[in-house]
Amino acid sequence: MHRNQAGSDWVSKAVIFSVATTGGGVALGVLFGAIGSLLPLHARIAIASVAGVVAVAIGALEVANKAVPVIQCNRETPQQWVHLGPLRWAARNGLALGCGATTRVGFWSWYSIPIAALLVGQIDIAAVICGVYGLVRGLCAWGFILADAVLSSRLRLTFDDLAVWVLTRRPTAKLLGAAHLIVVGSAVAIAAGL
Amino acid sequence: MVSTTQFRCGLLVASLAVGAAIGVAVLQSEVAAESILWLFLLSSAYVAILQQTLP
Repeated sequence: MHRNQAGSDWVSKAVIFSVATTGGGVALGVLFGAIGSLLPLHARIAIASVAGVVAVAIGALEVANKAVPVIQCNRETPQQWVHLGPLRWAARNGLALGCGATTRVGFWSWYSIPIAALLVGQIDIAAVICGVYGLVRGLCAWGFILADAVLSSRLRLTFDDLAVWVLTRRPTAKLLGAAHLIVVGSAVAIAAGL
Repeated sequence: MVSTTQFRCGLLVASLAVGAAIGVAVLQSEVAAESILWLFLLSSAYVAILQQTLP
């Protein structure tokens, strides 16, 4: 939200951004849910077992400080979208970030979301799983707005101070992401009967 | 004082233990599908929050 904040209504942009991120997430869920619904149960169980073990392995390597490069489109949303106007920018940016796949995902943990959508094998439930992801990404914008208001009035900190603080938490987030991968991977592998 | 290596080992073991406990609980649950669904939902929200640290 930061780079296009000047001179426009925050609330309208945040509402459109949040709706769009949720929509992007739902679209991702529908896609993977549809693919999963085409797969028989035994195939999905086999995928769950393999994905669970791979997730544990990657998570363990990352916890051991041996970073495994994330397979991703290593880019941000296009800068030229800023020129579309604040509301269209918010909508496009939201759709892209809510889907996640077309921009930098940053964490192997992200893959647990489309794989979960695939494994459930039901389009509606898959849409809910990915929709929650998109919704929370959108709600984080509101968190930043609220935090900015509180910090600027009470601690005289700017939005940039807050953004820098969040960005510098990345090593901790990487470690938490690796731990999350191990938890989800081992749970899924065991639940699938290995 | 706990060293970085000890912390990382502890985190690895704790994560495995929590994941295994969840997996066993799901297996033994009468509503296994719903249980794993909650894990996936919380997981999605968690990843979205972690991604706020991306540049």
